[in-house]
Amino acid sequence: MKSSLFHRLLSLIAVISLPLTALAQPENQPAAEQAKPARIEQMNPFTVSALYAAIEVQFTLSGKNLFKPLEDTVDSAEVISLQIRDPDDTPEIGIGDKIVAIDGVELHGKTLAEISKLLNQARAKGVPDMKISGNLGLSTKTIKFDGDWLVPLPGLKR
Amino acid sequence: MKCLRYMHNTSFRALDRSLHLSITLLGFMLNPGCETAPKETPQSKRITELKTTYEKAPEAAKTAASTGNLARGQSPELVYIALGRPNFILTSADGRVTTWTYQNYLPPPPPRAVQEASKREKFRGNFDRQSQIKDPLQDAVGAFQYNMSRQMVPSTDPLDANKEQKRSDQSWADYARYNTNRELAKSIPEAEKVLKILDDKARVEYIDSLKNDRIADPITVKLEVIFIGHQVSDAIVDDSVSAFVTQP
Repeated sequence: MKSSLFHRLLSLIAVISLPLTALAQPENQPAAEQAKPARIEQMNPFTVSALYAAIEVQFTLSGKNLFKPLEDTVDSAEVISLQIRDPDDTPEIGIGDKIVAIDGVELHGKTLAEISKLLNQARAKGVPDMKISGNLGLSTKTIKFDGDWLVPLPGLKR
Repeated sequence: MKCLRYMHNTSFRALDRSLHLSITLLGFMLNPGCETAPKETPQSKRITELKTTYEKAPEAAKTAASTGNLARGQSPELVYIALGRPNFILTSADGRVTTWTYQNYLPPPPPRAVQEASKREKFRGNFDRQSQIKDPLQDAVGAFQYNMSRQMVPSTDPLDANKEQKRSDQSWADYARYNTNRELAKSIPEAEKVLKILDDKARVEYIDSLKNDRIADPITVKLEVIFIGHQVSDAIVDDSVSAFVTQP
């Protein structure tokens, strides 16, 4: 009689401690739970842009609105500084290159605010296409580039 | 008859002369300031263009702008009055830092008192620039002109016979590089050949500069006025010296 009571007590302790052990070992999850598809990681756009080199762009203004540079139209946009984040990276853009167009829209004749809006829209769609010309401007090429701008355009963070 | 015609003509001539005289006198009476009217300068023309902005400016800034001088903290409007339209305008992507470049900047002549003092000092043979030129921009430009005069001293070295002079659109740093390269070339065995290449290149560039530049004057300098926000932060003469720092 005593032994049966003892066995009952033991089995009761075992039943109570079962969920506690399950909690203590999270890897012992039910198989159904493990079969769920993995959560899609939303990558930080700043982390994505770090894959590319960062650039600093200087604009040549037309001087039509001499005293308000933000409202003046742009003649050209030149890369004046380049920051390579990955030592193995060989960026397709370089110092002295001129950005002619973003996503097929020419920058010439646009204000800084308009260019900012254009880049923002292009980034929202994905990686912007940048048409760039070399130092002499004899040839152009279009590259995919979503690097940071070391001095961001008005209203943008990068 | 002839006599009558003569009398008629002379009386008309006299009337004509008196009429001219009276019109001229009337003109002088109506415009009393014509004799004392100030000489029109490029600055005065631009003041009329931006009259309201000019009138709102403090007195010291007005004086600087109207005499073609720069000062820290000046607005772009006052710089335009002082120096005119720049050759190039560059801006950072955020539009905060703007640089106006004047390719052929000829500084205004120093005030008469400074000129007189300079002449006296030269006469004494004591050329101490610190004591004569008080305006930092003048001082910077004076330093370059002094350096230029040193460069222009004819060399006795036969290898310097074809040495080219400084272009107006060339910075002093670039001209110094040309001179340093020449000096280095002199020490190698094929000096004459290398010097010929360097001098020929410099000559072609000099001739091109005469064709392209409106003012091909070697005493002009490149001036970059840097604005941060809406105020002059610095002005760089010839890519190297701040116009607001007194030269040693």
